[in-house]
Amino acid sequence: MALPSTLTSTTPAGSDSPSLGDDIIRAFKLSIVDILGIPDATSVTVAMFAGLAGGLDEVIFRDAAANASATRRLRANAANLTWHDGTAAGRVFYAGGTDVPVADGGTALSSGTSGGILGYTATGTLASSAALTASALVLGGGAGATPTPMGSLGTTTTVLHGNAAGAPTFSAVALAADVSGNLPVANLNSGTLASSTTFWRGDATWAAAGTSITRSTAQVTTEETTTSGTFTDLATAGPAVTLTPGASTDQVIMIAARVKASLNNEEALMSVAIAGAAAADEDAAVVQTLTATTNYHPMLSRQVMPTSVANGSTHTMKYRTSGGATGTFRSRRIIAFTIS
Amino acid sequence: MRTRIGNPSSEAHGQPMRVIDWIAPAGTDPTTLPAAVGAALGVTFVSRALVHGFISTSLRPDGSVYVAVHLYDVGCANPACGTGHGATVLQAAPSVEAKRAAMVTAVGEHATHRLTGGTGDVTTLKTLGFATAEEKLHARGHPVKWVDAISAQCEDCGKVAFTDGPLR
Repeated sequence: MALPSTLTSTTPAGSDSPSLGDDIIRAFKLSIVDILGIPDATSVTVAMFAGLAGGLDEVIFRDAAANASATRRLRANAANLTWHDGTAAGRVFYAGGTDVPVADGGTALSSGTSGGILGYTATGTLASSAALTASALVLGGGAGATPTPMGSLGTTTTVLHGNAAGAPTFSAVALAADVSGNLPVANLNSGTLASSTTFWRGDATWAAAGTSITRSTAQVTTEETTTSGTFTDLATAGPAVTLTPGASTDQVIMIAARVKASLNNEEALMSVAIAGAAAADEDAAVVQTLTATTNYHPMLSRQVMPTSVANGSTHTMKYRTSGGATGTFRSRRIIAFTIS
Repeated sequence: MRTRIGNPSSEAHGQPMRVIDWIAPAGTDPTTLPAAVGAALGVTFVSRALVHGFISTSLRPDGSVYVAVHLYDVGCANPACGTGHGATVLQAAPSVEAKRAAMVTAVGEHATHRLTGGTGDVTTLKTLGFATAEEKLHARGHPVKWVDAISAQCEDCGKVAFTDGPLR
């Protein structure tokens, strides 16, 4: 029978005669009415189920104004399917349907900005931020706003500076304003040669303090000669001094001796091999004998001031003459001391 | 008198040379040696043009004179080599082996202080007040690796000291 159809559990009326079976029919109808919840004696215009040969195909809800009314019940209208969980009724959400509200654990959003992130712009309101720049730091937007990316990525020579009044910025470290505390000694040339007797010098080295002079002296009194035209040692080499101030230093070297040359108009020279380098005429003290005598000239001396002399360098007096003259040297003395 | 090959005086060119040394008697005037030795060996020490070597002496406490005649084996005619000889040519000396004895005779040799090239030379030089090679190393704080008749070497840095020469 096509819908609409009415199922009335009180018909057919009768005497409950077993031969007529009217009571059975009424009981059957009542069972259907009770079990399926079909309104009794009501014209039903829409089927509750649709079936196919394979079984139940659809459940057909009426367009109910109210939500499901009791636990474990479903109810639907044109907009929602509702479910009662024993406490209250709520909507059942489904893929492809209406966005799930924030209050129901969803986002209430159908789309967002590529590269953006979600943020609450109000209690119960989510929104997509603008695209976050690749590798950029993210700044909070505060209440009512989503986070935003920093406009600058900075560089390898800048650091992030805080800003109590706004967004931080990248800039180079200003040593005068940005740094506090003491720089450990180990961070200055690894602390190499740093001690209570050295100071940090402008050429980025730990140098001996000016008040701590390292000095040394040596002498050879023996009278010795050479005719060499090139700088050599005498039979007793030196004298020589070695300074070990602990660092590269500028030094003053003083040499002195009694000197004479054996030939007229010839020279006797004494010089110093500074830090093992070849002795040079430029560093030499010279006696020239205009008329040779057997007498020594007055004490002869020369001072040189080499710079940046390596720690532990040895300075040695050297001697030569000109023209094969016999240069005689005695009371030879060398003094060296640091000045930096 | 003895002859060695080397550069015991640390001559600026750094080349080996023949070094003949002996002890001359007290009163020997070092300024007379260039002429006397040059004449005996047939070489030149006194010249602004060309020399074959140089002579070093040391007046010892007893008045004797240690004499070391250095003869070049490697010459130098470069006035700009930076060692100081300028235009004077340093020329390799001829062989003087046959003339050495005559040279010593001409100059004179101490009656008792005699250098022979043997192991007794160190004692002779110490007697004359020279520091031994070992003493020179110790004086500079160098640990001694080995000692021979005339020299010693530092264990750490390899420096060699000579009993009658410099530490180098």
